Amino acid sequence: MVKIKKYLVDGFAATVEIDEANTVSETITHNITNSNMGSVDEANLDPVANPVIPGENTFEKWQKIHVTAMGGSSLINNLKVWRTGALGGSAVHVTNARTASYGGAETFATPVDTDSTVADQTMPTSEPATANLGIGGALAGELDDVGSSDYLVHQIQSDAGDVAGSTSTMNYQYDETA
Amino acid sequence: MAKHIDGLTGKVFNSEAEYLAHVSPVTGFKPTDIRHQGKRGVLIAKNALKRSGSLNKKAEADLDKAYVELGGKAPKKRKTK
Repeated sequence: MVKIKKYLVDGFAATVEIDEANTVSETITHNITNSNMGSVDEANLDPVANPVIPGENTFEKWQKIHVTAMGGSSLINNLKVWRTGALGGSAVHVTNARTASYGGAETFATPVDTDSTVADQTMPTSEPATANLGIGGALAGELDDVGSSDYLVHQIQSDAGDVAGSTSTMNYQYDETA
Repeated sequence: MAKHIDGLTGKVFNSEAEYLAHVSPVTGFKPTDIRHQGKRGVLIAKNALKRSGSLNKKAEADLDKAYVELGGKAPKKRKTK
């Protein structure tokens, strides 16, 4: 008797990855392994090799929550992003994510290390009460098929007196309806 | 045309469709298979379904099976009186 295992692509749950866009060409790195921030516009960068001079900013990160398959589920929504863990010194972490007066979906622009004009909110340091990253330009937006969230834009702005970096955790959360 | 890069391997694809169709040499699964995200991805999916109240028995059993296939420990069975 020959046993044949059959794995269904749709049948578990939705598959979700975090993508990042870099350079003027909007090159997409899928399923990034980290959100390290530093002095170059690169995904999965080495922060030790690309440190930030005190008083200067990291390059912006332009990232998306990307559903690559629905896996039999019907809906992905209620996107929340936040950071847990302290930053070094007096650095601040800014973002476009917000729970109210959402600015709509940002159109990609080459990431900069000057003060971000897009990321003008403070990154939450605990789970927001409601969605703070949109889909289709709206916080109440939903995905019922493969696709991506709006761009999450964030940047760390260091202080001239900062003497060390830090390690913290970026949280990307979504709700899924079977 | 924008390039698409696999974050795990650095391999460059000409399109998102090509990226989604490839079998990862790291995980052995396509990016469209939840097992490509590993045990952590399976747990993330379970929690995402729990938050909407739609983690039914079948979905939980399927995800637990995937978790074990990926090398995770089988969940403890609840004792019934």
